[in-house]
Amino acid sequence: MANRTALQTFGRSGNPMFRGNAFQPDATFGETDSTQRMTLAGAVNKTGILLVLCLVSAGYVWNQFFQSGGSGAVKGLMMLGLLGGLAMAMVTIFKRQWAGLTAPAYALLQGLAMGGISAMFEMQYPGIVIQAVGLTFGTLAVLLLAYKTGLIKPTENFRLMIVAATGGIAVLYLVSFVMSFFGTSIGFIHSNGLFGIGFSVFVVAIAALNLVLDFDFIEAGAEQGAPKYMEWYGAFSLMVTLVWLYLEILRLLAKLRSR
Amino acid sequence: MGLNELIFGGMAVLGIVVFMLVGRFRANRSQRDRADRLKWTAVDKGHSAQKKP
Repeated sequence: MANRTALQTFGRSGNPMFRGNAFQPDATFGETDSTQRMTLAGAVNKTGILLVLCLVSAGYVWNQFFQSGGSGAVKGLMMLGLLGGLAMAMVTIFKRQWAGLTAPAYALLQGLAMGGISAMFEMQYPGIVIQAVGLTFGTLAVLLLAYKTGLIKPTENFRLMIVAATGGIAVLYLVSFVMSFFGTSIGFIHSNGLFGIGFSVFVVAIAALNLVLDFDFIEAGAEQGAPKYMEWYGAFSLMVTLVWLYLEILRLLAKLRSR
Repeated sequence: MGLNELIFGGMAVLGIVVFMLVGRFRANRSQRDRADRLKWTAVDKGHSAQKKP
């Protein structure tokens, strides 16, 4: 299948945040005041703000979890975080202009879920959370350096590969989730055997490579003078990928520790 | 603080610092000036923004 046909068939990106017309609603942004345009520093600062917000709410749930000695006390907060975070993500994707409000709300809500999930893993495997956090930000830094120096060059084929793999993983998780209602699941996804660990390594690699698309998206937005709110949107897309990467690293480490 | 926290905590802090510092700078020229670069706005400029009546 020719690249162009494939892109038209599968969409330019499976990630709804990276639709080809990402900057489209502001086709006139060339005439916008320069202070109202997206900058790299602005996107980086806003990513920092989102990380702090996520950390604050995660810390709150983490403390609640260990003070009460179990997940019972934080289940409600975790559900609020998961469902609220999903809702905020959807709103941000479809109403990018609102990203200045919805992205921080997403980070706060996602922090509630992350705090609870992390605490559960930490209780089972002490020390695992700091390892996952360290590896997540280590990966972020290494890939950023690789992107900035031109070591990794995202092309249409690269995007097609990442999008196809991400979509495949999403479908697999969805099928597994549906199957869980019938008391069964796709075994290797959760197994700590070699195949299960290999699958997790693959998913971590794909999640990490999604960061490169995020970097390129932000770089292109800043270069082309996208509107200011796209800084929040870029930060949000980076945040979504970081949360996914963190969770997958956490799962991978848990599988390795459980052997 | 154990070795685990020291190593991975340090890695996390270093990663964030690198991101906050390096993220502000534009990518290398070899990254920006190439023919096969991803076109995030190609559809908009080529079709949506200009060719629509």
